[in-house]
Amino acid sequence: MLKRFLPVATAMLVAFSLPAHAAQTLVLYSSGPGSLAKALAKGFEHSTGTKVELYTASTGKVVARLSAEKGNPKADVVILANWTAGLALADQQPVETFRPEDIVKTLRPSLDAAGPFLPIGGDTVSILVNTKKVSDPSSLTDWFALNGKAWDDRVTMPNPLLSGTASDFVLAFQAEYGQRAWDYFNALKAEGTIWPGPNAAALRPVELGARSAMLSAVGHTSLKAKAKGNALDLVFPKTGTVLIPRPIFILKSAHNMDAAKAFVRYSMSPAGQKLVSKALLIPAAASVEPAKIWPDLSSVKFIHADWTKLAGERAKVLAKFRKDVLGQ
Amino acid sequence: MHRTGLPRLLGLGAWIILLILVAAPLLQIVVMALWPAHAGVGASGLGGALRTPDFWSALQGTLTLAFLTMVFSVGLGGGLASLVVERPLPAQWLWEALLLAPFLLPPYLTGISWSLALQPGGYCSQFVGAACAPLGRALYSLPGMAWVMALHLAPLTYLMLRAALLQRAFTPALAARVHGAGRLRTLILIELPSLAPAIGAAALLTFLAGSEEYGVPAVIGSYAGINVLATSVEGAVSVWPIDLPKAASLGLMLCLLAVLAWLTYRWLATFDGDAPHRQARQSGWSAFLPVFAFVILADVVPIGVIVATSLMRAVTNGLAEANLTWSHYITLFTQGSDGLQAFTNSLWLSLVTAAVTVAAGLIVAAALRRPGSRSRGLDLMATLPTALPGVVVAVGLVLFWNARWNPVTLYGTPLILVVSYMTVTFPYALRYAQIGLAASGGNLNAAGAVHGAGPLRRLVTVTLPLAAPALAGAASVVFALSMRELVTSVMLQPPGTEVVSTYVMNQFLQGDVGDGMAMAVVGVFSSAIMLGLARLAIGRR
Repeated sequence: MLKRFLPVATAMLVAFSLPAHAAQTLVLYSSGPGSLAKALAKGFEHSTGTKVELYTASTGKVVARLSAEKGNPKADVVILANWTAGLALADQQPVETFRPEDIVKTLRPSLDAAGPFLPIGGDTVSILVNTKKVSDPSSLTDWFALNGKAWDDRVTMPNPLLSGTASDFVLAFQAEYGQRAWDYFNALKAEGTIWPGPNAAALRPVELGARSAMLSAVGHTSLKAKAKGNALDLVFPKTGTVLIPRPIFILKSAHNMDAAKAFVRYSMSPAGQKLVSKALLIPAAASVEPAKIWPDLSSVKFIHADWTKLAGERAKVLAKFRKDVLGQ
Repeated sequence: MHRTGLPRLLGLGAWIILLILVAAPLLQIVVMALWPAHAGVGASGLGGALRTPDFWSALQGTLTLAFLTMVFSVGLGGGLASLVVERPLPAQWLWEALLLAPFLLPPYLTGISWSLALQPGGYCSQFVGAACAPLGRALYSLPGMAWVMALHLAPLTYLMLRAALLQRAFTPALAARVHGAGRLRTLILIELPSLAPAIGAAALLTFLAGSEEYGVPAVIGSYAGINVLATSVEGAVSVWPIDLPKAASLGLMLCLLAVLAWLTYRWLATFDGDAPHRQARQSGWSAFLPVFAFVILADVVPIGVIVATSLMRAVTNGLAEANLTWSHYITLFTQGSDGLQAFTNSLWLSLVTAAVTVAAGLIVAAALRRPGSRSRGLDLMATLPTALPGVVVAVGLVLFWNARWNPVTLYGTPLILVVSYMTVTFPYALRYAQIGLAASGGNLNAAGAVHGAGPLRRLVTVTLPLAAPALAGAASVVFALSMRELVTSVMLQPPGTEVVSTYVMNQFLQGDVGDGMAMAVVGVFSSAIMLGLARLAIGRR
């Protein structure tokens, strides 16, 4: 039997010692939507011949993976779903400052937040309702509307520890409303609200009608589900929501800095930004329009968020949310 | 030289295999749990983890889930096995396939389909109506989760207990009956003790599977607010800021559970099996109803829900003709063929894993047959990966294969998935190899030895041929487990290499249940075909 096993063992040893990557590859870690990351990778491969190896997951997982690999980083370029996660990460490990003037001047001003990197696009959050379950969505005029007996066991929210946009919503929301925000989260918890996972996981019960409304529902996921013919509607509270830029950045440890910069440039080019729009995100380039399914954004009120300040509170606020609201 | 050389080589090989697969990642975890500062992480480690508020509720959740899973699985599998062994159904091969099919569904998929079926607004309420509400509530609880696990694990316990029932010696029971013992007395004094090792082994495996399960609690528990250790570990690892010491500490607690379960197993397994006797049984329909009910619950409902969802445009609009579409399958096989790539990756990774793991399992099983305290250490180490949550295995593998001092950085290559699949499936391969070696018995081996055959010759001419069916079984089980392995795939997936489970999960997380379910259908059915072909090949030989 040993004789039989030896060739296998030898083969394994040979295989183990093969080099991990071919020379011309770029490693991209990206938050959802995965379809956008895939499209960008494909487009870049097509135009430059550089192969892109891709890892996509929710923001919480991408950042955790980057942090676990800190000693031996694999990623070259990273795309995250929210700005403060990018700033917090840049605080933990070296990020290449990359804001070329020729790209910065093309940016949509509302998405051009302070930081060492560029926004690839943006998104916003709303209250997503199942129109078969909520007869009068327009009555939901502010974020606090999902409170009270009538909403027992009817509300979901993405877990801010996993969802980047939900984490920036929580940060901005508690900065705006202080203790009232925390009281609201606790009231939601008391009425049986669930935080089952990232956006899609929180959306599914609403899509199915098991739950009626979703707090802090990210735009592109909601619109995608709505476009499929589900009975869903997005309600933007009149008191104002947040516009959350999504960072794209290069790790200082990038194995091939030129390819990494070329990838960011491609993502910010009109071709790349059209893909961003197609993925139902708000393009960072002012010249590229959001997809038609988006409601008129000029009619939506956005509150101001100081992302740099909020990034400093990020760890503390999320720890508080985890302990007080999620009970972990 | 032959007489002492081969066993010694086997022992050495077994230790090397287990050191690489189990000890190295485990050691990394222990270091991380006990000396987090040493590992360069400024966190509190074991003591701090035990004081976190969710630890005790998670531990309680894990214990309850594991115990209920064990009871349900052994009950289901044992009941089905005894029914089918006593009175095989006509067209046994068909029922056999249907009884084993649920094992092909990854537990998280079974969980997803049951929640799609039973949740408010799900298929059940679309077809049956309000009567489904209590069922839905029952699903979103620990017993509900254990029930889902048991539907998935019953084929395993069924196989193990059926093998034991078929291989038990009939002579002692016959002798007891001839000498006037009643049925009950024979059952208690003769039959049950002879089955005890198999029942113990089945209970052990299902308890451990229940305690380490991540997928079902992740799918169902997250909607019910139930935490178990595995999901807490995953949370500590996958959520920024990550807390590796906490993950390692909770993982260590699970190891403790494993050792306890293993000691219980040793205590139960003091009986040696006899050479197998087979007795032809008349077939009949008496087992039909229970088997049929199981097939409905474990095959028809979950697979039906997955297939239906994969054919639906919008989930809310139900099973109407206008809502049906092939688009998810077309997406799967055309859209840049990401799905196809993921599927191919899974296929070859699982094939490599099956071959290597069975070989490794055989070596360790052979080494374990040598008596002595060292084989106890081996057995413990070989049992441990079952209790290690996949997520902790993944953490250990990252720490070990991505360490700066390690010249071979498998991490970031697809081979890390093979290693993780090997670690996770190893106990199954080992148990099957042990059953196989036990089936090849002492008598024939001794006869060979008496007539002068050396250990190597006995191995090749006696042991391996007799063990072949069990080894083929081991290979198919390892293949099936690797095709569906979720947690380690998600955690260790190298950039650019998607597999079936990560594809399904990613589609699921991106909100395209239909695409995910289409892949699930393709993955599950192709596993079924592979396993069917393997069984056919064994049967023909």
